This record gives sequence, C-alpha cells and structure tokens, in this order.
Amino acid sequence: MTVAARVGHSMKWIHGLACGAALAWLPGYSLLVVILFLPLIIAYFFDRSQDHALVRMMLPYEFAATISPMHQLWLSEGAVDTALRLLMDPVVLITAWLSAGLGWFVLEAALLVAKFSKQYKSSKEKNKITRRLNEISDEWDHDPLPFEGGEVKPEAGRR
Amino acid sequence: MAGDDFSPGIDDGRSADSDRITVEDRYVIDATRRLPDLAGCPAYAVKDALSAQATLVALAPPAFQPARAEASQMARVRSPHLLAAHVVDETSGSVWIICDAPTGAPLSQNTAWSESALLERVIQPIAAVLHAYNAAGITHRAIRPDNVFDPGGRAPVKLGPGLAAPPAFLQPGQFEPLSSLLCSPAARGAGTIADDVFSLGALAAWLLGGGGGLQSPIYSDADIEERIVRGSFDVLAGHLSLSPEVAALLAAMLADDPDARPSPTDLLNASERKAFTARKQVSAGAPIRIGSAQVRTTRALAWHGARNPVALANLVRRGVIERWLTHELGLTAVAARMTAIGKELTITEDAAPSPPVLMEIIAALDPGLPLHWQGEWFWVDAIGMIATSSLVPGGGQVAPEFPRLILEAAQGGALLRFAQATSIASQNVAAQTVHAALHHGRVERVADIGRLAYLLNPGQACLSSDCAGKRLSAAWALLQWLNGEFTPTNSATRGLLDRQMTAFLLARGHRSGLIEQLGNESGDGHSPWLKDLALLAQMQSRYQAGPLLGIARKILPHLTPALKLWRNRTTRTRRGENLAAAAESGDLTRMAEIIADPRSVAKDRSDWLVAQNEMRRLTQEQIDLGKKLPDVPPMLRAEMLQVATALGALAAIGSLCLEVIS
Repeated sequence: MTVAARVGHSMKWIHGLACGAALAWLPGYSLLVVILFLPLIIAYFFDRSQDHALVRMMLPYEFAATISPMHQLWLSEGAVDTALRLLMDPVVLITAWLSAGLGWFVLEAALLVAKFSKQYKSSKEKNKITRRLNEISDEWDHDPLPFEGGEVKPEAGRR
Repeated sequence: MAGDDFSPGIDDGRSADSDRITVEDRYVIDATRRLPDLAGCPAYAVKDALSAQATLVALAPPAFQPARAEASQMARVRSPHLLAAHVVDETSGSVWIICDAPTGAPLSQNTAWSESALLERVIQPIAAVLHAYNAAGITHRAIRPDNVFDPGGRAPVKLGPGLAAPPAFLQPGQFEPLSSLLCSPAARGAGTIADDVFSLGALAAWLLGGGGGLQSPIYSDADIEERIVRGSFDVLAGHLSLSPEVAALLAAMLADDPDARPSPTDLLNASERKAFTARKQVSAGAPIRIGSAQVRTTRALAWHGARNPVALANLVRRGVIERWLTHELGLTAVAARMTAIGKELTITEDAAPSPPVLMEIIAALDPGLPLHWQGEWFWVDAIGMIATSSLVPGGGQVAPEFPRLILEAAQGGALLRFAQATSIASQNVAAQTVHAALHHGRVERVADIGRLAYLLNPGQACLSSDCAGKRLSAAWALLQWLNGEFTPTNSATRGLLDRQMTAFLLARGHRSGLIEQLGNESGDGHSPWLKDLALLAQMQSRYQAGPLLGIARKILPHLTPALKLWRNRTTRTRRGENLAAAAESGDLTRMAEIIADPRSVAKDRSDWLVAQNEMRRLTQEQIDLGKKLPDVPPMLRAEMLQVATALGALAAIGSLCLEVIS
C-alpha cells in the first residue's frame, strides 16, 4: 500500500468520523447541506476523472446558492425544523440544485463559444487561401513553356 | 561608291516621282525611257542639267549581273577612245552609271575592214585605252564587237564601258583566251591586261574574217580541246589570208601564253611596218599518253589531267611526267616539283589524288591556268561573282555544288597555295581578299556563301527574289523598300527577311560588327521574326534611319508567340501594350528591347517558380484545414473550466455580499 493511498484511506476514515460527528452535533446543518449538495455528491460519484474538475468547478456555484438558506438556518440556531422547512421550500431546493446545473451550463457555453470562434477563424483562413490561389492562377500561365522545345526550326535551305 | 553608309538625306537622290532620278545634282535619269542595252547592260535616257549637248546614257546593272567591284576606280580611267563613265552613283539606293552615249553603230554591224583601217582605227585606239587601263592597274574585259562603236569616216572606234557588267561575263567564247575559257562565265575574274590584248586580237581576227558567228560565252569541251591542241591563233585566224605582218601581230596577240602577248604599249603604234614575232609554245617531240589522249604541251597535259585525275596521278607517281618534262621540254624546275608531288602521292594509297594535290600538279604544269578544284575551273577574284551566279533563281550558269567547292577550297587553304603557284600576280591579293571576306563575314557554311557576293562587291544589289528587280544596293534602300511596298509572304520558315536580305544587311553592316553579333546564330529555337527584328533594329539604330512604321507593323503580329515567354499575365499584357506603342512610333530598337529581354524573362521565370511553390503550399494548407476537426483541445477545455470556476467563485462572493448586506 502506497503512502498516498494510506493517507487517502485514513482521510476517508477521518471524513467518516467528521460526518458522523456533524450528524450527531449539528443535524440541521448536516441535513440541509447533504440535501442541497445532492447533485454534487451524485456528480462526484459519476465523474470518472482523476481530479473531479467538474465537481470542483460546480462547487462555488453550489456555495453561492447555499449561502442564503445556511444564513437562515444560522439565525434559527441550526434547528432541524428550520432545516426541514427550508428543504420543503421548493425555491430553495430548485435554486440550489439548478445552480449546480448552471455551473455545468456555463462551462459548456464557454466551450461552445470557443469552438465557434475557432471555426470562424479557420473559415476566414480558408477564404484567404482560396482568394490567394485565385489571384495566382489569374496572374500566371500554368501550361508548359512554349519555347522550351524549340518552337520554329528554320529550314536549312531557305533562300 | 557611296558604299554601305546612309546618305545624309535619304530622299535627296530621288525626286517625288520615283521614275525621275537625279544623280549628283546634275544628271536627271528618266527611268521610263529605256534605250538599247549598252555593253550588255540595260540603259536609260538621262539629261545633263549643266550641259545640254552632252549625249549620255544611264546604265542600270541588274542584280544578278552587277557592276564590277572596282567600278568607281574604272570610272576614273579616261581615254579619248573610250566612252567615259562620268559617275558611278549609289545615292538613289541603286547603282547608276552615267556614261557617254555611243556614237555610231557597234562593230557587230560593220564588219568590212581592211588591214590598214583595222590597225589604225581599231587596234591602235583600243590599245591606247588598254594602255590607260594598264596604267591604272585594272582590266577592261569587255572587248567584243557589240561594245566597240564605229563613228564612221576615218575616225577611230570608241570602246564601250567595261565596268557595267562582271568581267568577261558576256564575252563570246572566241574573244576569250584559254585561261578564261576554261571557266564558266561567272568564274572568269578580272584577268590581266594580256587577256584584254587577246580579246583585241580576237576582235581584229573576227573583223578580218568578215564577222558573223558570234559564239556562246560557254565553250564546249571539244572546242576547248581544239583550241588547246591547235592553238588559239590557228583556230581563230588560221583560215584567214593575211599579210605576213598582220599575221605575225595577230599570232602574238592571240598567243596562248599570256607572257608572249604584246603589251598595250607595244600596240600603240602597231602598223603594217612594225614587226611582231610570236613565241611558239614549247612542244615536246615525243608525246606523252594520258588516258586515250596524246599530248605534247604542258597545258594540254594539265587540261587532260584535270579530266582524268587518276591517270595523271599514275603518271606523276611513276615518274613518267618528271622524265618527260626533263628530257622532252627541258623544264627541270617543274620536273623537280613533280618529283616532290610524286613522293607525296606514293605515300597515299588512293588511286585518285586529293583535290589539293591535283590542283598543285595542274598549277605546276601550267601556272597560267585557273584554279582547278574537283572538276571546276575558276579564278580566285571571281568568287564574288560565282556566289552571285549561284543564287540566280532556277539555277544559274554555275554548277549547284560550286559554292560548296569554293568554301572547301578556301577552308583547306587551297586559294593561298594556288596564289603562290600561279603566274598571275593579282591572285595573291584576291586570295587574301577572299580570306578576309570569309573571316569578316563569318562564312562557315555553304548557306552563308551568299554573304561573299555582297562583301566582295560593294555595288552588289540585294539578290532576294523579292527585290532583285529593284536593284537595291544600299542598306537604307532595302530598309525603305521593306518599310514601304514589301508585303511579307506567309511562310513558317522565314520571317520578314529571307536569307538573301539577311545576308545583304549583315554584309553591308559588317564594318559595324553586325556579323559578329548576329551572323552566327544558328537560329534553332528562335523565331525568324525575332532575329529579323534584332537585325533591323540594329540597322535602324546604327544608320539613324528614322521611324520605320511599315516594318514595325509587319513584324508586330508575329511577335505574339515570343510574348508567351512571359508567364505573368500582367507583365505580358503590359509588354504587349508597350510593344504596340513602340511599333506605332516605328521604333524597332525599342521593340527589340521589349521583346528580347532575357533578364526580365529570367526574373519572370523565377517569380513563376515562386508562385508555383506558393500555390502548392497554399493548396496543401487548404487540404490540411479541411482535414482539421473543429474540436476543443484539452488545454482549452482546462482553461474554460478555470474560467467557469472563477465565475462560480465570483457568484459565491456576490451571493455572500448580498446576504451580508440584506
């Protein structure tokens, strides 16, 4: 077992302990966070990439959406009732979940824009080449040189 | 003669009406009034503006029968009994000879002569003319009945001009000595004053014989053999009943050995009382047999030997001729020469001697005979006229291979060797002149031999079949004619000029180095039109001929293929426009510069290669662009992730701020 894997393993263990403690001491917060972060958790398990870039990217969006309910929960001192009430409020739930989707959408939109700009550049380049090719073929003859074979041979006995 | 230079004012010699030509500001030639030929040359009416009573004719030597090369020198010879040539003029573009009109009928129409009248009225006056010619170092070579005029009464006859036709060209056979008779008329050359004395003697014999029966200028072999065997005097005057004095005079004048003939000075006071003794030619007691002929003289041996070279070489090789010369004729020096040649011959295995060896044998046997080369006899100074004659359309009086033989002989050095061997002194200068002309004219191929005609005779008119009738002997006149009435024939093998026009222009411009520059082009791969343009442009610039709009317009349509050398369409169009503009201004030099610009062509070629490379590269790029999928590379994707993350962070901070504020 490598050092990293061992550290990962022990970290997992600490994560599990922390989660258990959080559930025990702060059940309202834990409930709200788990439910609101559900798309991220699902994405985390479905994302096969090494560094979970997608999840990390979606995280700040999720944070942005979570700040307001967390504040309300904080004001009611982390009561489970408040947490449940907040979870029952569809606006809170949909906003949190859609914000994760928004992160993904922003990325796709950025990629699309990049793709389009590249395509535009390449077609511009293509047009330039075609124009230059036409210019050259208008400017120059392309048939073999007429005089290289000796066009007119004067007859020897011409008088 | 004005030579090949442009006269300052081209139109000075020619008045508005081209039929009236003014020469030297005083002689007005009426080219529409043809008079009877004089000395075998077409004659026209002419008036002297300064002297109303002068009776003159204007002679117009045709292109194929040009005036003598030394015509202007001959025109300076004056004698009371000669129809004086006053002017030999070329300022009108053609050679015109202004000459006294003959008074009285030619001798061909008056043939009843007594011996004393003949001596006083024919031989003495013509001898005086020949004396003047001899003093000037030239020959007349046109003493024949139709060129001697009898004014009637007791006045002496007058000799017609000898400069208007090639030397001895029109002489009937009986007025020519053997040394000239062997050659075809064109190959006779100027000869010596002794040949003129012979002609005078022959004229006298003809008149005493009652005239009649003028022979053709070309003699058959049988007639030549008769003259050789019997001697010219015997053949021409043997049948006449003459007084012993006149017979002796004629025998001397008609001697076959030129050294035995009297000089013109001896004849000045020829009379019935003055005695002449004719030296007899040395004749062998025992004949030598060559082929089927038995000969007794070296001349006959040389003539038969030329016809039968194998037999002659055999005799020389076996030493028969050497012994015959020593014992029968006492010619030890010639015999020694024969021994040397015999040794040379035994080294070579061939039965027939090589042409130079045969030439040497013949020249050694009789140094008075013309040069013999592969069956053709000719004098070296006649080579220009032979070149002219060989160009007569439809075959002239010379054999078609004659030019080739001459070139071969000249290139082998035979002309100079012959000049050493012959007894005729003028041949040496002639051989050197011919060699100089061959060198200056860069005559290296038979096809170029026509240049000799122009180089050796400054008055030779252009021999092109298109303009021979115009007698254009000055370069500017040909340019003017080309510029004006000439319409080029549509032929793939020639451009504007034909071979003769080219040779004529090159030869006339040879002093400016035209031949060195343009004469050597083999012409392969070059359009004839381009070469003609280059030559005409040189002529135009060197002779300041002014704009030649006509020539430019005639050449212009044929330059289109040459423009295709430029692959760049813009350059080509621009050049075409410039060319047309130059043609419209008649500037051939500018046209030649535009159309023959190797540096520009080379640049165009390299630019074309660059363009081709660029095209290939661009095509490849185009293909590559087509292949490339519009995919997002991982790098960009990572960047976009960071951008999206950063946006998310911003949103988170914004949301936090909002929460804090509210």
